[in-house]
Amino acid sequence: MSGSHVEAGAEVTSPPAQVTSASAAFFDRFVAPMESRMIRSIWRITRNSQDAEDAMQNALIAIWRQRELIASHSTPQALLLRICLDAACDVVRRRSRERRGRLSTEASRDLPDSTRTPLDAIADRELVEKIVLELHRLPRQQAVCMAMKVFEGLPYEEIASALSCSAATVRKHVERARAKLKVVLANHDLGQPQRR
Amino acid sequence: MDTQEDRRVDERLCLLLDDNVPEKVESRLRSQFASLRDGAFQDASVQPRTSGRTRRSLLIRLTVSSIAVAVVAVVWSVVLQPSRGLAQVANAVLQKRWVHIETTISEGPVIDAWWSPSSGIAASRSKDFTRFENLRNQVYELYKPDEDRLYRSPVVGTSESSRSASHFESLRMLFQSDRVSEKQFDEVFRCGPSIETTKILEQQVEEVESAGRKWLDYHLKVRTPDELGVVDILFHVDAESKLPAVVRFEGQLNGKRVKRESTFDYPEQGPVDIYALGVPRTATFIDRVPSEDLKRIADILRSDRIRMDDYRMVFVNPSEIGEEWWWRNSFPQVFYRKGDRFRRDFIAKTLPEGMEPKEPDANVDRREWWINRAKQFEYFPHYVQAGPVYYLCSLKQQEASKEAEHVEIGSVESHKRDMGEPWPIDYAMRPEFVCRVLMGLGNEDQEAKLVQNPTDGPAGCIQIDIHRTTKRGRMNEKGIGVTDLQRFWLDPRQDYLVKRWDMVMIDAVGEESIHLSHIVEESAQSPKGVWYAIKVRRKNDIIQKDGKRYDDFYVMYVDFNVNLPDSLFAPPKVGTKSQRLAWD
Repeated sequence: MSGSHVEAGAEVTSPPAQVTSASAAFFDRFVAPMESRMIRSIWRITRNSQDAEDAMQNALIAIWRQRELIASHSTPQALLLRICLDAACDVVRRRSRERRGRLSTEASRDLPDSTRTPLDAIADRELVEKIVLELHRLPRQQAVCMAMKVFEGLPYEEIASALSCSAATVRKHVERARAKLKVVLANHDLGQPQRR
Repeated sequence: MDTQEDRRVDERLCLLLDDNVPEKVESRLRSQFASLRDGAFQDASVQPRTSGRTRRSLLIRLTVSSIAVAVVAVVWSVVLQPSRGLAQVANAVLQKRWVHIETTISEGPVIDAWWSPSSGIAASRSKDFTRFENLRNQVYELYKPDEDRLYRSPVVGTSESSRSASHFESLRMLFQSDRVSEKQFDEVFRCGPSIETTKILEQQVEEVESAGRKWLDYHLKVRTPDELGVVDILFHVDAESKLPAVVRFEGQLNGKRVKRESTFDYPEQGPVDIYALGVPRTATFIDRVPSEDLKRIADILRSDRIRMDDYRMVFVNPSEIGEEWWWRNSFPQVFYRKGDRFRRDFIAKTLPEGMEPKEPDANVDRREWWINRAKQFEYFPHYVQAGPVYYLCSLKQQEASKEAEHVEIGSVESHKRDMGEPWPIDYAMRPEFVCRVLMGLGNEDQEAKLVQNPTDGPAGCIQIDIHRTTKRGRMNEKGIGVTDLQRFWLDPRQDYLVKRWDMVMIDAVGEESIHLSHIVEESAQSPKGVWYAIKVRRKNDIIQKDGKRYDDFYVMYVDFNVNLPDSLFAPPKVGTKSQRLAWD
């Protein structure tokens, strides 16, 4: 349903010159409170500025198109996050093909942490890249369910409602995704010296 | 059910894939939100888009549409304060390069205002201040001549464009016919203290000719909700373009005739920055735009305030004084929330003799005990709030001989207060708000400081100090006003829930004294995962007759698993009788 991204190359018409009260009300009630979470959910998947911008634009267009559904949905917040994550997954999948599977991530704003050494930081960075790569390789449903459950902390029922499927299906997707990511973590840990 | 191992994996993944979005990326993504906010995607959404240059161009143009609306609101508030909204200016104004308005208030102060829909600038100037707002980057600059300081602050809360969107629609419609509709007018004007008393008493539209041009003069006689009473309003509008040339308000205030007149012109040039408005370049510049860390925390707090679950709550306010009789020490109030609607019920009357509570067992479950206690009383709504509009009820005076009967609502007052987000009038007594109060980040009169590793306060918390930099409105001996410092300790482990909030006065030699502290002693997570306060200790500086200070408590027994019918949040009606509450 979120395949609402549009292709490059066409002209854009002038925007409307006025604002409708309905749009403002929709935005204020449903989207504005979620702004930060939506941005962060997209960033977690894309970790690249250009991809994040593209994903956000696609997500916003999808949100606008589906505003009535969102407004009347039982879990509008979950639905908004689902749309964002769908858009993020679409973009990274497309870009991954373009980059032939190579990753192009950018550093986050690392907060200083006196307990970590520079070597730790490098190891973590490598692990992050591996995790992101694996996340991008996951089937979209698995990636979306995983992100909604693990990163957004949504209950299975809410995710199911946003994805129009059963909670059992969501649980299955999360389990499968988690198992794959667990392998990446385990492989990484095997290659690391043990710390006490 | 997820296993312990699953949870460990999840936690590790969350740590690795952190959500610290680079500042530049976040800023660009937020600008995309601004476009959606303005409804501009309404058309864009059905159009194919392109990337790169064309898309940026779209975003810029989309932003411009929001500026136009926002500026309308700014100008409106300048021209028609305290009411907001103006006979907007039709679409023609949006095509103007600059609009300049000069407002005179009863031969007194003159306020100059400019806006440029195309460049996204709104500015105003009077003898007391100069303000320049660049709506593209959501900041404004404010110069105070008496301080010779120039402040740069964020536009916080709901953007002007969002806030004014509904006004815009109403205003735009106002002059579209030969008669101003009462409904439209009410939409525009219902921003005063009361929303129900604005009324058009008379209106007349006449066509006049002057200097070879045709004009429409809209004459209105309006009863306003404030002390101005009946006001005569004239909108002198160009018949062809529907652009206003003069807007005049005349009324009586304290027996004197007062007049507010605004004249409009549409120049090609306007101020490009605040210095073009005469602000000296030597003015001390003070940047109040919060750091990214502070901004992020504020966003999290706001988000959790908004997404809090629906609930019913029994609230009691016991004190250390008489703690040994806690069961007689307080009366239960009942609070409700459903989305952006709120309600608070007061006990309507005391119980007859013989219904006083008996001393409970020492190990009684106080939550259960208080909920059962609340069921014994009849209640009436103290207020019901839907969005920014709230209805305050008071009881009808009752004759002594009829005390045993039901009491009824004697009057209902309606008010409006728009905080840019759902904001109940009794926020400090609510479980999701008392631990997330507005800190006033970005206010030009407040300086914010984040302390990552505070030396005192609750363990594991970060500290935010908000110093007031002005003495205006400072708390007086009667305890009225604002304290010099507000200090917050926020717990990152609980989504930055404010564990302690101190209101502090600072004397001439810099000595601090705490006026009031709110300390969250117990907290929990709602089904949606929002942290909220259960028990708040309030330490005050009031010395009792015995020479001691005593704390009081806000104890909140919140229940999420309740049925809250919409009828509970309907505007209360005069004559409604007090009743026992419907408990599940």
